[in-house]
Amino acid sequence: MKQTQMKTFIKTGLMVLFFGFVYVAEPILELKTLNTELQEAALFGVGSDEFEPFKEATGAESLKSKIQWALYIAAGLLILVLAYVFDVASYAQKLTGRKIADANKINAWMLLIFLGVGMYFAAWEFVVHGPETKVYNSSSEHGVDYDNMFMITLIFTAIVFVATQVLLFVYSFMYKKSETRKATYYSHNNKLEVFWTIIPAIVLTILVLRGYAVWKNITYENPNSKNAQEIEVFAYQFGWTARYPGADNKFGAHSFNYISGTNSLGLAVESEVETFKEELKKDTSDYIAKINSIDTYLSELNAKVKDFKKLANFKGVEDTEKEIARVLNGEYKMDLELMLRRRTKQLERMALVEMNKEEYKATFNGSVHDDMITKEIVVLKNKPVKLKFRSRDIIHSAFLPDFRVQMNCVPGMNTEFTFVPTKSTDEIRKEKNNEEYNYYLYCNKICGQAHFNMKIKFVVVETETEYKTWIAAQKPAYPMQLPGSEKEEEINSPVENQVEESVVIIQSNNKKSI
Amino acid sequence: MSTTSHLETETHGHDDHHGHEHHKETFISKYVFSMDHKMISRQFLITGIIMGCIGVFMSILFRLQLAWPSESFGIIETFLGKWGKDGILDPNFYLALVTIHGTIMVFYVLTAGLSGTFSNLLIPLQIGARDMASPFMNMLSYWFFFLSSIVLISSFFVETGPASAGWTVYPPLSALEKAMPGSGLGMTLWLVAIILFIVSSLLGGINYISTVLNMRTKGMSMDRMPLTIWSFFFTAVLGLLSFPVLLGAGLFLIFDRSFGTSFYLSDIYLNGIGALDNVGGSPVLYQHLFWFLGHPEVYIILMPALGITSEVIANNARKPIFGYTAMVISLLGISFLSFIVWGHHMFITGMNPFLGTVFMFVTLIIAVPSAVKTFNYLATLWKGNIRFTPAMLFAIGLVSLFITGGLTGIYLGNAALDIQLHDTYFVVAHFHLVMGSASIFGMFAGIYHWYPKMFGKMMNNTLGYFHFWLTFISAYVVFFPMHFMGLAGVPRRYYEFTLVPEFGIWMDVNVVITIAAIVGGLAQVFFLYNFFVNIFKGEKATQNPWQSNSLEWTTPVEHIHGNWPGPLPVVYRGPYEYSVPGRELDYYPQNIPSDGEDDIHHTETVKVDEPTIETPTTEVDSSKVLFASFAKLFGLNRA
Repeated sequence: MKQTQMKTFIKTGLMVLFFGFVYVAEPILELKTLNTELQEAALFGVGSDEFEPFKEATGAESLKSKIQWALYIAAGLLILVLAYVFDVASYAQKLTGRKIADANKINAWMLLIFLGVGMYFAAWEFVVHGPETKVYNSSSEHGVDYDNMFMITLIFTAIVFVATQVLLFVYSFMYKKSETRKATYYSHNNKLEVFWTIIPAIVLTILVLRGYAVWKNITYENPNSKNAQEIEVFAYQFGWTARYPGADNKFGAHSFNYISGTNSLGLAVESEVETFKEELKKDTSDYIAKINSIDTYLSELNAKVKDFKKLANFKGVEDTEKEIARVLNGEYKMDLELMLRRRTKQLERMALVEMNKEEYKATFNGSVHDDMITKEIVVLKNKPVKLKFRSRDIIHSAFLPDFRVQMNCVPGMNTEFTFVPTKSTDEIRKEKNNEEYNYYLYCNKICGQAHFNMKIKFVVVETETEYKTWIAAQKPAYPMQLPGSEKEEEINSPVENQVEESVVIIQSNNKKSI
Repeated sequence: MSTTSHLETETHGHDDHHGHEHHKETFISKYVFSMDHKMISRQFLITGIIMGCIGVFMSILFRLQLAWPSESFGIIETFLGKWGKDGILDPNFYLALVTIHGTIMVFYVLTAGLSGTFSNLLIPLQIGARDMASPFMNMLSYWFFFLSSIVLISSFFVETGPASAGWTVYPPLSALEKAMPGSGLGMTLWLVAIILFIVSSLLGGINYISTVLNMRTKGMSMDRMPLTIWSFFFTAVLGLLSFPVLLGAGLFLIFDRSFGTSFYLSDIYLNGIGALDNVGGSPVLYQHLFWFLGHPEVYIILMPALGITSEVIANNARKPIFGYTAMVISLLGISFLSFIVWGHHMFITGMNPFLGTVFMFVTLIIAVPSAVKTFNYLATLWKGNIRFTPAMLFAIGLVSLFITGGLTGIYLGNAALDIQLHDTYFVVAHFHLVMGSASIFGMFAGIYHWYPKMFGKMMNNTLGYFHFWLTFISAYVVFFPMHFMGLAGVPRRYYEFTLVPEFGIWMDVNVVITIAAIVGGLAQVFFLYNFFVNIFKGEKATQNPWQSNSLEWTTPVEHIHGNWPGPLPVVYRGPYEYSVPGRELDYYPQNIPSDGEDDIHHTETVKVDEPTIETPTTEVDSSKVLFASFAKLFGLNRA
């Protein structure tokens, strides 16, 4: 009885799916022509704004989509048919009381075959895709250590991988069920267990010690850290900017308070900051005015709604009504107040710096005027380079896969990475036999819509002259404007200020969080 | 065997007028707000399976985009509407899919669906208890989970879309509404869902711990507990200690989002808004808090699967599990170490690099207990008499995937190697194999093995075999090539690679992966059919279909409240006494006295003339039991 019930169940399912298939496949088979569709469209009255006459059904894309649908349903059908067949088969087996096949044996063989085929494909992957990876193909000095470390790990793990997988599948095959044999009662062996605790422990100790040495040399005990060429890399949604310190080899100070339309890095440029302050003050008074004139705004909106209604602009009506609702429930005012608070606080923070004479001098010490802002990063081959990372909005991650370099860019925190590029762009192009090949610095931390397209070109030049030519072609972003008072200050500042650090960051200077 | 048939005929009598057996129970109290642990476990399982289907389906949608970037797929528009205009997935919604796929699979399927199901089902049954220490809290635990699932799914119907900052939801991205659309209401719903989930898992966890500590039947000393119970116990302890930290992290994030605090925010300028007034916070703080849960969470997911595997492998190899004590100690070691390794997720996040060294040391130590477990599984198979039920195949699959995925952990745990591999497809491959696939395989092993206990019916083996082989092969085809992509520096969470010419060579691989993923997804239809149809149409289960030793197979096939109709069984030996020399049967149930004859006639359980339904004493004592368990934990005497 059960069997028949199940059969009806499956049959109904098959039928439903089949009709679904026919329904979807109908337009593909052109049972419904373009003409009839147009006629139908005419019936519903083409011409009215809201109505879109069967646009979708006539397009070629729609046909494609229907074909895909047909494929999905067909796949579903196939699976149900398979389920049906095997279901029936197993019932037949039960009814006849005769085993069609010994499932245990089949599965044991399958495991063995899986091992063989699997190992073949794993090896195939290493042979075919292995060379496509960047292992033993690094373009930086520490990359060589990295690759050696990787290879050692690979050798150890590959041995374990092959040994354990082989044992797993071969044991499964060898000791498949047999009626004539009984399993061996063998519940523990302390010596054996101690043995296979100690061996992995030793291997891992070796790996850890080596890893420690490599990691230490790349990060906190990097010998090149002191004498490296410093470049600031600035991340924002969705792009990168680089800054070179210029002739004085010192970066000008920066703060997120100073970021404005004309000063996207927030550098401490006095003239920029002054104009920006005026802007902020104007913003502040604008917001106050807006907050005070909410009633006027509301009546304006109401008038607008009327106008839109006259013009039959339904979209406009809808949008304006939404805005009216926002005003009425206080959301509009809250937003304005929030913005007002932000601007006021920003001005306060800027004023704080001005009040503190020492800090002000350190910040506006003039070293920003020869800083160069570039849209690509150019470095010299075989010369240590220190990338200092900064983020404007959220966490990004600077990733240079060719150089084994990666470091997160965290707002409110300074991170850096020092390395020595050893292969110029020209060399890698020759090596890859690809004239178009470029190094890129990618973003590797999820950061929003255009995360997948956030990159900046990274160029390694061969000779010092090339590098110097390029640097000479770059112009300071905010050059000294007047030779008057400011120049004096510039001359005086190095003498007066006892600032040793090249970069003074206003907010939270050495915030290395743990 | 005669008793078994006796029992069958007995329960058959009740088959048609099932409802009369407990005439007090209404539909609501029996199937909806049930306090019976067996029903709650079924509820967890079915909710988990539904969430799993949603999660897997999402992964297929975004795999389509990865394999055939910017090509039109009708299915995408049908399911995603405005986010799949003209059948092309929106880049923002791609991130949303990735995020919710991760959240669903990690929390809803592999934490609640796996540990929730089997802890609930097996803890009372395998230790010989009538029910959980607090059945009411147990019920609450499920309903908080259910509510949480509803809230999470509802975020799909929000105008700005669900959370899309990755399943780890790092602020500031997740904290700033203007940073991406998904960080609006969708993110709030995500946080609410997770907080509800934490409540659920804490309620469950407290219950599991107190039940295991206090309600073991006579003779069930700790060293006679099946390894499943050990793994559920450690899992619950991990959850209890780490989930509150996530709760804290989540609350701070809510504060930052809604109340203007600056726990995680500092020095931020946003396009279109200007400088924010948050100063002094640190985004890295969130990462510390998150991964303090996040790493134990990996073991919360994996350990129940390992426990199930231990049971299934020993049972089907007809051999005692090799090195029971070593298995328990390695579980303990993994549990302890998992609390001090979280920093290995953060080597290059700006954390002090010296700290990275410390975390690298402890991380690689954790490989030792994992290796011991693997070797013990191999030793258990050695000279066994292996029966390949679908459950056994999945258990073997788990060991294979655990090896493959676990070994790549040695690369990622190494701070130096992590520089290049961090956030690439190598990581994706690693955790999908060792945490994702392996745990899912453990879950399947458990379902195939305990289905007769859960539903009193058998599953179809042939369908199970097809399900296993298709899933196993596709799991490897999907995730193995990803290692090589990661080594080539292909970043994860990229919407498409067409804008990066360097990655063009991986486009073919992406197509292969997607096809394998679709095959793997469709293979689950075998399982779903097998699972849901056999609940109603399946062949009736026998008393002890796998000839197993543990106590759950001594309860009647038809579920009754209180589990055992007579007095509770008494335990005389450990759970893995298979193929004991000098014994005719190759198994030796825990509840049979040693001096008795070698049959199961002895058990009181089979004398079911008129099952006297005892009101479970646990309900009365629940608070006492709970208190006692804490007293025990802190070394106090029972008052």
